[in-house]
Amino acid sequence: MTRTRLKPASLTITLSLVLALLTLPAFAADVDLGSGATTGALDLQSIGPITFGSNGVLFVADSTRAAVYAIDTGDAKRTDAADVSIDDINAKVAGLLGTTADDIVINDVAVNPLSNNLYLSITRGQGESADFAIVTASASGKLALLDLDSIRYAKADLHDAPTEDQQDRRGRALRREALTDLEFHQGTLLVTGLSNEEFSSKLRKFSFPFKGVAGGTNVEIFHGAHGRWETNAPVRTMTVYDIDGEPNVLAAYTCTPLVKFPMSDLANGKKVNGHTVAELGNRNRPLDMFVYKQGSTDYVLMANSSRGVMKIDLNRIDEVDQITDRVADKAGLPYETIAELVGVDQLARYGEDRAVVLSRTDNGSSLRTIALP
Amino acid sequence: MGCDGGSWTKGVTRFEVIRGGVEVRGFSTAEMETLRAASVDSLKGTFHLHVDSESMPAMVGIHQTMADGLRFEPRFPLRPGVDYVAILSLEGLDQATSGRRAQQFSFVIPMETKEPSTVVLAISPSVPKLPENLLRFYLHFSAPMASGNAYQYIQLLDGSGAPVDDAFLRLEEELWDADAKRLTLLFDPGRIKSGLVPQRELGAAITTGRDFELTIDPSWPDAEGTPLVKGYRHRFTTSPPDHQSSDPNQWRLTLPRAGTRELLLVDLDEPLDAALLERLVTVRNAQGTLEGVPDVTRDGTRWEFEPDQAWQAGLHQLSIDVRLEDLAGNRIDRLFERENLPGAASSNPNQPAAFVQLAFALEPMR
Repeated sequence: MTRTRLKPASLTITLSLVLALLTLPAFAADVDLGSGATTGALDLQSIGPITFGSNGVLFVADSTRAAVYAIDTGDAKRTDAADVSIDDINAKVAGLLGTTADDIVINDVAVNPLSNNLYLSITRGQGESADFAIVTASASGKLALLDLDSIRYAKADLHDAPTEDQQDRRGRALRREALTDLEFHQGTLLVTGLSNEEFSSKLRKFSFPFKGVAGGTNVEIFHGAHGRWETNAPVRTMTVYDIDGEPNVLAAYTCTPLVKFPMSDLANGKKVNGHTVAELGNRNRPLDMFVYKQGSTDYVLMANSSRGVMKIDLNRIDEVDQITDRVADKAGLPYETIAELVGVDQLARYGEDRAVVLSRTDNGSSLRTIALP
Repeated sequence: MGCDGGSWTKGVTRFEVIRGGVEVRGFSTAEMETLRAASVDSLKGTFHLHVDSESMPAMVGIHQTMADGLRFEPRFPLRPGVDYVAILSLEGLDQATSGRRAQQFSFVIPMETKEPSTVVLAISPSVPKLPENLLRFYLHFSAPMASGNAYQYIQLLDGSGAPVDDAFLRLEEELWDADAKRLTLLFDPGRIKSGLVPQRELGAAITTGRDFELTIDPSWPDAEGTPLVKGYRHRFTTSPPDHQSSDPNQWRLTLPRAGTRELLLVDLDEPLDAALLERLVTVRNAQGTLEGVPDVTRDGTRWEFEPDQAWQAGLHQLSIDVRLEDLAGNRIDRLFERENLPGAASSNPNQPAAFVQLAFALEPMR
């Protein structure tokens, strides 16, 4: 896939760059992105999930290139969270990029925890002429394009041997892994993906700042059903949660189980069995989730393609037994469905007591903050 | 894609859509001097382009001051069929321009009408009888397709023509290959896996002994936005669930003659996943892996290989990566789902993939 590039016009007498950029702090020291950090044009071949690390570092997944980029947004000024409400977000983002809402997809929304600016992962157009962009939204609703033509970034390849997967023996690029989620926790970046060929669950773990361009730990995740069956399952979305001081991954599969496993299990060569803590019921396709505290209780808030937003009580997570019996629609940890949150496609934590939701409405789409339920 | 959309003149002002950007001319010498001296932000406020109307965000792009006018070049290409409005408002830039009123120029880049040319080439597996726990279909198209709404053009019908709901896993990340010409369509694994809620409540999407039809709607647009030439129907019946892995020791090899580029034919013990067969089965000799073209024929029950160079006499190996799956996702080395026995051997994805080797010898030419 080639990206269309603008060529400088020969008539130019003065050339003024008026791309809307984020204001960069004047004297910011370079953030450590690890070995291989470079400044230049970030030529994405696709864009999927995005998530923030610390110091304004944004991780960007490129499934076609089978890589994750860490980019220094320079957006590291602490700003208070405020209510955000942008109606018709798809049309407005499309307008900024010179097209209409039907021609763009908002793949993901990430919140910069320092500036509380929102970052949107955007695909514009189709096929070979598609473009990939990151659009920012401030609390006041101002949209801007993040300039990827000149930016500091580092790359982590998902395959040790990229050539193995890039082309088959007829030169076709058939095998591709759709990257489904990124999660950053204290210097560790977790990446999940779903292959368009073999059915397995790969979870990769990278240390950040990136050390070397390739590698990362590659782990297959299994889950049990009723203590009897054990299968592979692709993880769709995940979050990290401390249980008794030990970081655990909470992972939701494309089929129904929600599982946990200690992050320390993600070591080379180890087989990881997710411990099922809830089975979330029929037609459940988890989209996004995060953990928050309310009073003395921890909850997971999870967006779900058909059930709206679910609030799952984590209070008994260290006690809940592996689900072994035949159960009704729900099992394990109790949850409730937040009735007023419907059509939610993207969900992210925003500040201490809010979430940001991208939702489909009758007359378009909206990006807004809500109080945590 | 043509990006020139004509021009529009009012008084001395002339707007023109040219070389993918919008240019405006007809300024006095004093006005041009003001424009040349203007800051980036001033130019942004002076000349801006919008989709539909000024209430939409100003498009991102580059402003250039030319010898006799201004040019705005959008960061992303103008799209045919979209309503654009260019707005010039010199008011307040400075005294030289203050007498000017804001002017607008609306334009649409004409759409190129294209006759449909993209077709569904095939749907695999193509074997007419498929196991109840079938894991996936591959949809092959002749040209890159539009992604994002795939599932609305795909329907599974039962023998009476009634739709089978919730059969497939509707993923936000559609599983296209890099060229967007092949889509992987996964059945909902929750309905296949033993004991999960969807399996208990809904059962298998396709049940043994019944007829089904997978249909592709002709209105599915390709990457150019043009619908398919015609729809596609893929009929099949369903056999009992497959809970057994393929056993390469049961495969039957038909050997080529040394000195020729005849096909090596491998008849399998059951239909296997065609995509994985092409990628995960190779032929080696003492010098290493042979270059050549593999093919999967006879509805996924035969693997063929045509070497680039003539076969040499001597020992060869058919090398089968154990990640190879059958139609129900059972790998060579483990089943899609298996009884969870304590102490069961654990697999290690970080070790080099394991292979099953089938040795064969080619006789020297006489």
